[in-house]
Amino acid sequence: MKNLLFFLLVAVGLFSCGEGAEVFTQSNESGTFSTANGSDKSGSGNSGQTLSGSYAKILKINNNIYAIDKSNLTTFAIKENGVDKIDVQDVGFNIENLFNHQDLLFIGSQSGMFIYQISESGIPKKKAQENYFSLPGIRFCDPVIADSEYAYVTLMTTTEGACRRRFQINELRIYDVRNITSPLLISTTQMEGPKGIGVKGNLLYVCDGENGLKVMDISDKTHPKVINTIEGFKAFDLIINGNKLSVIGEDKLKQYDITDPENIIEYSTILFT
Amino acid sequence: MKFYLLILISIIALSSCEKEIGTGTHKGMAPIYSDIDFNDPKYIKASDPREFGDLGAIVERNQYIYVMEKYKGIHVVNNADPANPVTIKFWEIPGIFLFTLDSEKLYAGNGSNLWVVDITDVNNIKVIDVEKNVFVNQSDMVPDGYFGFFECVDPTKGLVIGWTEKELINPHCRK
Repeated sequence: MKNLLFFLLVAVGLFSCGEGAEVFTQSNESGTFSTANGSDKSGSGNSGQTLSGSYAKILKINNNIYAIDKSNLTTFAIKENGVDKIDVQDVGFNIENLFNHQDLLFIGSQSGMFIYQISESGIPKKKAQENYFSLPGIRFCDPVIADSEYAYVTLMTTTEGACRRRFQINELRIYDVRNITSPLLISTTQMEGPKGIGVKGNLLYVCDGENGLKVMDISDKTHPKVINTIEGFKAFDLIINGNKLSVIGEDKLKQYDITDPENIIEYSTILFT
Repeated sequence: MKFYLLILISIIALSSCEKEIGTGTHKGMAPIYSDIDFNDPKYIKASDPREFGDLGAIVERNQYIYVMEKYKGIHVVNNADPANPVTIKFWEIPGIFLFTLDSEKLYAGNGSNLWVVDITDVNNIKVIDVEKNVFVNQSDMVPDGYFGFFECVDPTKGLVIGWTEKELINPHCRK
């Protein structure tokens, strides 16, 4: 009986903290790339770049449009007066975000992360699928973003039924994706309710749900450190545009000067209620 | 063997302590269905700026920030001065769930459609193309961020564009 109790306690313990406590040790030296979602620099008549938040579901890349619905990745070719659907691929169940870096597409779903490579023809080809820790009844809301070497994923549980809330998993995961066919989990960091994310060099900006925004130093990918927190509002998604940061909450748009990440200055808030 | 079975059963029991589907009256959520035909381009148009609602996606290009309000449209913000951003237009696109754009064209999805819209004049946007039946399953089948009883979604009633509180009698769905 004692044995059983012990096993049960261990089992419950494992369930309630998931893989959250684990930190895998693998060091890295480089990684000072910054990235923004979407590489469309074509601006006909206007030399601009379209920047999208981490929850984007559609991106224009070169002369194609890539879009996700809840289960498919669809490619459209842009023609003179519209678009033509040229490809559709079944990705998985409840896919949520689409992120582009160079010729790679990262797709976050409620159960895992997918990496596709865009071929010369513009058609994406699946390179990797990384499944997250899963439990019956627990699903994640999770965007994935990436730079040239690492992918960053926030996992936030949506539990079904209040009695399961003890199994919450809210964390930031960093994967080494230098070998895109086999992503390697490097670290897992506890968060409060992470949502949209953006990376700039060795800094990660994370919307932490009800608790505003966190700035994390990720120069050591095995130990991301919070270096600044902006509290007092709900943050859902963000865009880093040079030294300017835009954050959306459920009913507001806030902008910040992030020239000094440890001393972030608010430009403005648009709030309509 | 029995021993491990017992452990397994205990774990399953602990992880699924859901109660039975409700009988009687319960406070809960009910889906709001759209009565607009998303296939009709006449609903896609530029109108006056309006209040922010359920914000869902953000795009920046040049001096503009575009913020999507889920299932309603896109708030267009002139951000030439980030200290004084000005909402200048609301592009109505009923049922919108995704969008991106370049300087001339907006690509926006609603229902099962992908629309291509000429946005060279921010004040007067024009549909130029549509690809129909290219997206699936856009309806929210469960209320976001809510736990409890809710009225099950009936897809034949149209696309779910929101949820409202309601007294439910013998509700059959719960999360």
